[in-house]
Amino acid sequence: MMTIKAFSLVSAVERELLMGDKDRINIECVECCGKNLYVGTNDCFIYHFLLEEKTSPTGTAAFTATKQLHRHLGFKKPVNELRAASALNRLLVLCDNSITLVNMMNLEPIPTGARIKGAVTFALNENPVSGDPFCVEVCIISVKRRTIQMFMVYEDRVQIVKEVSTPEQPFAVAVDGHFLCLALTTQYIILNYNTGVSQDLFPYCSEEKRPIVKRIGRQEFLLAGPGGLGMFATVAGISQRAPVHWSENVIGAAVCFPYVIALDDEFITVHSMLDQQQKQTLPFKEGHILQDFEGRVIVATSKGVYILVPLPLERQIQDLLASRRVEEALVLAKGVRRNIPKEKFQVMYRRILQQAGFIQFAQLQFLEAKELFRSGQLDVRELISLYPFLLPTSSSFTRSHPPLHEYADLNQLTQGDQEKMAKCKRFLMSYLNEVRSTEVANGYKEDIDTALLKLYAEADHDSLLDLLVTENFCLLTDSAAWLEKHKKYFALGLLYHYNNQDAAALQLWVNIVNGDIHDSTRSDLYEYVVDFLTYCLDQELVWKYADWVLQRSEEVGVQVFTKRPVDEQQRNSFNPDDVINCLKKYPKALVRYLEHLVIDRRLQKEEYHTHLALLYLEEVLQQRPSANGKGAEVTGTQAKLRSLLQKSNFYRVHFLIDKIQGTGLHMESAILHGKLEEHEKALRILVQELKDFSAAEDYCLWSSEGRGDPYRQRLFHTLLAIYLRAEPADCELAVPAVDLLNHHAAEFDAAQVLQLLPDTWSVQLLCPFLTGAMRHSIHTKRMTQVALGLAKSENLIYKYDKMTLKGSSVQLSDKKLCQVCQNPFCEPVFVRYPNGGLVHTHCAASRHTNPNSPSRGNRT
Amino acid sequence: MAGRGGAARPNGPASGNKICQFKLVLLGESAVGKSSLVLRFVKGQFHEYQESTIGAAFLTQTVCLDDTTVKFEIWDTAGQERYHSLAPMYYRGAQAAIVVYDITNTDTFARAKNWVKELQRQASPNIVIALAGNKADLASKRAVEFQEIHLPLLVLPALVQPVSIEAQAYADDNSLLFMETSAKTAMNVNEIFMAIAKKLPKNEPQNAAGAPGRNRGVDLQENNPASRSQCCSN
Repeated sequence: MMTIKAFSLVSAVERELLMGDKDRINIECVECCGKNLYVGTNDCFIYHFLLEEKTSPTGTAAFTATKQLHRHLGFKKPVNELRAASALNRLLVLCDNSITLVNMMNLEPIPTGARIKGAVTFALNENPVSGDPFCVEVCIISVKRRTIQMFMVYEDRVQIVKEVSTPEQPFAVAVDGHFLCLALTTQYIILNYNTGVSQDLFPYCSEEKRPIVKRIGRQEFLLAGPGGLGMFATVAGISQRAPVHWSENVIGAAVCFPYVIALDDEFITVHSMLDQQQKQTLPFKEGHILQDFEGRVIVATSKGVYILVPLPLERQIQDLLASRRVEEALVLAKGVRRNIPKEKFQVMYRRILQQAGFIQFAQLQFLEAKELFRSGQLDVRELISLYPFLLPTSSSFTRSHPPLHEYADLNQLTQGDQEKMAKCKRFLMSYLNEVRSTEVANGYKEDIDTALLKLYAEADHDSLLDLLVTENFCLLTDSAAWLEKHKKYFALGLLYHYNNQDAAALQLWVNIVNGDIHDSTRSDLYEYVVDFLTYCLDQELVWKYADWVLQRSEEVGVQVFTKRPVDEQQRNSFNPDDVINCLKKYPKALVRYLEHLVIDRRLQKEEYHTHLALLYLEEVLQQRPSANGKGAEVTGTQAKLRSLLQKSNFYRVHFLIDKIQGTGLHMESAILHGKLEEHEKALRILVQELKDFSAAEDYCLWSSEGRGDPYRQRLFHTLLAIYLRAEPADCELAVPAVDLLNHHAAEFDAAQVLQLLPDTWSVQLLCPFLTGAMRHSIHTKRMTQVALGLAKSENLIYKYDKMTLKGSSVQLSDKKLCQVCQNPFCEPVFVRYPNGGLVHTHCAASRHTNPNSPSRGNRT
Repeated sequence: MAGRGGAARPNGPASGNKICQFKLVLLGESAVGKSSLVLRFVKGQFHEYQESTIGAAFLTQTVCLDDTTVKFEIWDTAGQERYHSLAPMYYRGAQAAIVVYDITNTDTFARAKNWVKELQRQASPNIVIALAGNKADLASKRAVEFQEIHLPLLVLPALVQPVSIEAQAYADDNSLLFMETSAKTAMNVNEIFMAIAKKLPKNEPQNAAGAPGRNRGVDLQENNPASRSQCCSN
């Protein structure tokens, strides 16, 4: 059985002090009240001692008893029981079935001689009902069969209050308020002496075995039960604590919270009321008295008196913790809560929880440890400090004293076991990660985050980067050194960045990309740097690394200029001219940038448009010699050029026409001419130089986009004219002319066309055109006829309306009154509303609405 | 051997606003498995060689039932005959009782019936009583043996089979909750406690004499009307 040292047994009164060498003298009873210790003997003496407690330097208590005096009571009977009533300065002495009162100090009997006669045994009511502080309530078991009597005992008189008879002979009694707890011949009962109501508790044969009835607190008693049980019972007859298990022959019991102490022939046993377990056993032979007096437990043999000194609870708890009995220590700590001032308890309990947490931690019981750390509100740094090098060097933390555990560090705790060490580290990682955002972290955020960073870096944990890119309190110098040590350069860059040292961060990353230092965290680090610069607000840094990123890749590198966040663009922090200047060495990048300016940002500055067109043109021309052999295949750049030339209205057309002259880029020059509204010239190029008739048709279509039908018709007629005006020899143009007419019949004015067409052309040839034109013409004619008919009938309807309105005559006389002003008409001019109401012209003008004629304006 | 049980542990206290506390007592012949049932319910453990309970043991467990948190104060009494006379000390004021018997032993069932009678006579009049036929794991074993062997004698089935039929009928006659349980396999252990929790009145004032837990006097409860009113307000 796991034991604990809860009490130590010290001698209080040596036998020499009492009886010297007189063998026949035995101790019968003891009483202790404050420092006064009384002993009653079998030869009718009362001894009075003064108890002095001394604590030796080693912390163990010792007692010395100084004899004050002793007095013989004048009988030849033993002194059976002694009870002090300090409020009355009286000692109640039971001797020869009679309770007498003597002065507590000089042991003189009181002059009145007041006494209670016929008592077998008695008990004081420690929860008195009278409310009189100068009176004690005494309950006696009378010498009369089955009789209990209640007395009020004053300084110099006694008064019987109540006599109750019991169903069986009582053997022992304890009192609480109106409740008597009685051991009867065959059972224990609770009896309310005021109401007479009784409640059976449980059977017990008091004649066979000495009963124990002990009040242990408000309305609760401790009883000797069957099978050596120490049973608890309330006045309601309910057991609210589990029983403790004594030996079968217990003769006395006492309570010193949270312990129940029992005495038998050979031992004093100590049980906890909290978990019912036996906690301590002290060998003690021939003991026959065990009593507690206001927290002091006294045990006596017939020859000597001893005191059971409780060890301080904190010491007991520490002993339990020292033997790693966490559960018991916590139960004990919680159990004694009521006995310790609240603030003191909280401090103590928190510390116990923390200690318990470290015990569990050392056993790698992390779940339990975590819960204990949490409830114990552990300063996380206590835990971190177990791990070597995790706390920042700048941390002011020192471990609490006395220490919460016995370990210097993790190496000692795990005894170098790497696997255990790794487990501990994983635990700390998850624990810190959990607490870092809670109030536990308040005040130590730097220590926690720095430790976490170190753990992550060491373990090559993915969360390292997450930690660094979110809000954190990692200390720069400490973390930087650690990351460098573990070659986490990318992470180090993030750390610098978080600490607003972007220059340092970039330098590191550039070094990684260049291969000067090695860190494979990101394979796309170059792209990351580009992205970083793109969003970097520090222009100087962007300029500093612009060459570097462009040298590695013009297309990707230029993104630092082209993909900048929109809000920054609006502030226009980068001057495009500076950028263009910088990009001169990087033609591809320059094109991209100009495209960005012209197409994405739609800047309308002539230089950018012209520059871009020129760059396209140069590239096209560069590509041409090789591409020429394969014919006029349009390259990507050429398409871009054309698209730019077509869509932009900002470039210098003449400048480009000059550039393009003689290069054979007919399509482009056609577009340029078109821009100058020189459509004939443009179409001529397309038809005569390129002989690309469908391009010519397309030209007519896109050039006239958004310009209206007449404009388009004019273009088509121009094209047709070019076709027809060609040399007669050049009759190959007849075919496209016919196709043009046949495909775009609707774009032409047929009558005009017919006059232009050579007479030689057959109707057959122009059949689709003619049919189309005819259809169109007829359709127009019919549509017009319909419109005409509709207009005519509409006109008829209005005519009818007019006739109806004019049909009836209006009589105006001086008897008619204006409906508005109710005055007669004096002039022949009037206004008539469609409902027939007549008003003055000026009334109609001044009144917006006529009450009878809401449809104003419909005047006839 | 303290094997962790397969069955899910009862839920911890929930955020629900009602908290009810009930005193529950286990009664039954010795060695039928009262302590094992409690150990399974409270700690999710099972000990093949559970020590005999001396006197009584006290444990608590909290379960959640809809929006109510039910705290059981469990009194696990000793089954040995010499402690029988102590039982009233534990079932007085109890709102619920589980009377346990061993389904492989008809004597324990007879004893259980006596416990039920005693409770009906002497415990709180509206006590919720559940009858638990424990060691259900053994029943299935024997049932298999019985079918395989085709034992002509009615000895084995008389021991095993009829008990459950008879027990169900007995439980029905006496308005008891009834389940066959196994502390070893955790079968129906949480279920029987939950069934009791459901049946217990949550909105009546708890028996003032029985409700206070250990270390708690009558006064304390009266000083705490707030928590009680949560239970009684509806």
